[in-house]
Amino acid sequence: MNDLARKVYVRVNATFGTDGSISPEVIEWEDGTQYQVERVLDVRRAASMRAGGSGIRYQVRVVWDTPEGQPAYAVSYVWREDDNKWFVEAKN
Amino acid sequence: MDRTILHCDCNSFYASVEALHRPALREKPLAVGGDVEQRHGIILAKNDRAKRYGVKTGEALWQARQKCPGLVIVPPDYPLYLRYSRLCREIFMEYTSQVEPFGIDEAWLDVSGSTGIFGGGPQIAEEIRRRIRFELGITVSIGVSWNKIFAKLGSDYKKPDAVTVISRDNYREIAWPLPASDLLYVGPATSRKLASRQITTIGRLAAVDPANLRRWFGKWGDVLWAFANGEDRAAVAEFDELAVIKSIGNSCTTPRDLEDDGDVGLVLWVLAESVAARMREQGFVGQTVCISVRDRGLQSFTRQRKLPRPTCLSSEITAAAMEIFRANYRWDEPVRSIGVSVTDFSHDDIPVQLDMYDDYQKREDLAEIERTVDGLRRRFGNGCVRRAALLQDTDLTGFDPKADHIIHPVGYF
Repeated sequence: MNDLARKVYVRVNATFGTDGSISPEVIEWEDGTQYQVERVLDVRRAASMRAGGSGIRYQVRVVWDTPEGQPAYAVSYVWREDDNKWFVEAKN
Repeated sequence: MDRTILHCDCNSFYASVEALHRPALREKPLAVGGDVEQRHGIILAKNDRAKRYGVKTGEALWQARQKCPGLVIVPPDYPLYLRYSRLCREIFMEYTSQVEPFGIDEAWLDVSGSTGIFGGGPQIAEEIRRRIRFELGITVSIGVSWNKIFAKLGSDYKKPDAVTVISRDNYREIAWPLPASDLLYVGPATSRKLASRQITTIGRLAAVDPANLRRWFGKWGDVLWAFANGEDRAAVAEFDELAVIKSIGNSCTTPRDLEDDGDVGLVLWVLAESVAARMREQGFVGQTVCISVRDRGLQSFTRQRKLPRPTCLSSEITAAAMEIFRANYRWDEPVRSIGVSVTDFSHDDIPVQLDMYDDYQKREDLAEIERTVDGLRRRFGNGCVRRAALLQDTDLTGFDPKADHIIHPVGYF
């Protein structure tokens, strides 16, 4: 059916807005690579059927530096679970 | 005008929540089972794949494994299920305040007042079904009708992840051919009685002269007739109305069978302490104590007794429970599980009539001690202060009913 993904919990720097909203700023991957969140494109409650779980799903455009020193971009999802743990779906 | 009522049923709730969090197990036969060591070794829920092998809720784990050798059994995680139950309810509450939970995984919604905003019943049902699948990753089946009974039939009609509408136009085709035992509260005894009169379907039940039903079942006969004809008028409760708690109880299948009054006394102490602590949390005192007992032969009974005055003291609850037990149990068999509950509540700050011969100061002191212990346990855990009596057999008394207690459906009436 749907291909499975590895559920990876990540370190996140986030900003708390004056209205209580939470938005991720930096996502730190397992290997230490830092992904800057350039823009939050969408926020909604959603399940992750691939990694397993549910929470508030942020669709984000991230930018990071490749080992060659070039900036790279990607659009990805990051979930915040109800206990404020953040996870992403990683390739198996 | 007819009401618009939805009944939402989370399909294989425990198993679905587990499968969501363990994607690798999703395609395998999966069941949630109790702890064999604690002798709660039965299937609590199973997914569709396990169902295909004939695995049934309530059967022993070894039986299930025999039917389905590859069965994966995971232990229950009640806090997680409660969280998903609450998340479902939060979605329901966006459509109406009349949300009446029935157990942890079912609820009725009366959306009559919001059809003007969100569209008709079927449309709201579709939206809720889609949202729960997308946002929570589990599935619901929803019945839509003009009364609670048919709405519930509808949610059972097609599973999983489906909406069934039982309207005034189609109920004869959809509801009436169903077996009478599908009706809420038609249990094995009632359906046997009905079957002996060739009343096997809901349609046949609907066609019986209500006078006959009354003769066979008393006033329950009228209720059955109304159920079968879609004339149940029971309202869907406002969510807050249900916060009015009618009884607080705890029960437990003990780690080993109870052999004598001493064993029973110990377990009753643990249960009564938990019940008393939960009552104090709510600011209640109660005046009726009820016990339920099940023996090794799985025969069970319940008995209750009214106390001379309201109490929230675990000592008085234990004493009353023990008296009821002694008066009603003859020890033909060892006891397998036992429960205590208290009802008949009033608030603990109402004035009480003092009795010349009653040592009210002592009761006040005892209550103060128990409140202090509650506070200690909240801060340092349930085991931090214990009754010396309970240390006689820590295997028997080393459970925490207050933390473990789970939600059961309350009666429909």
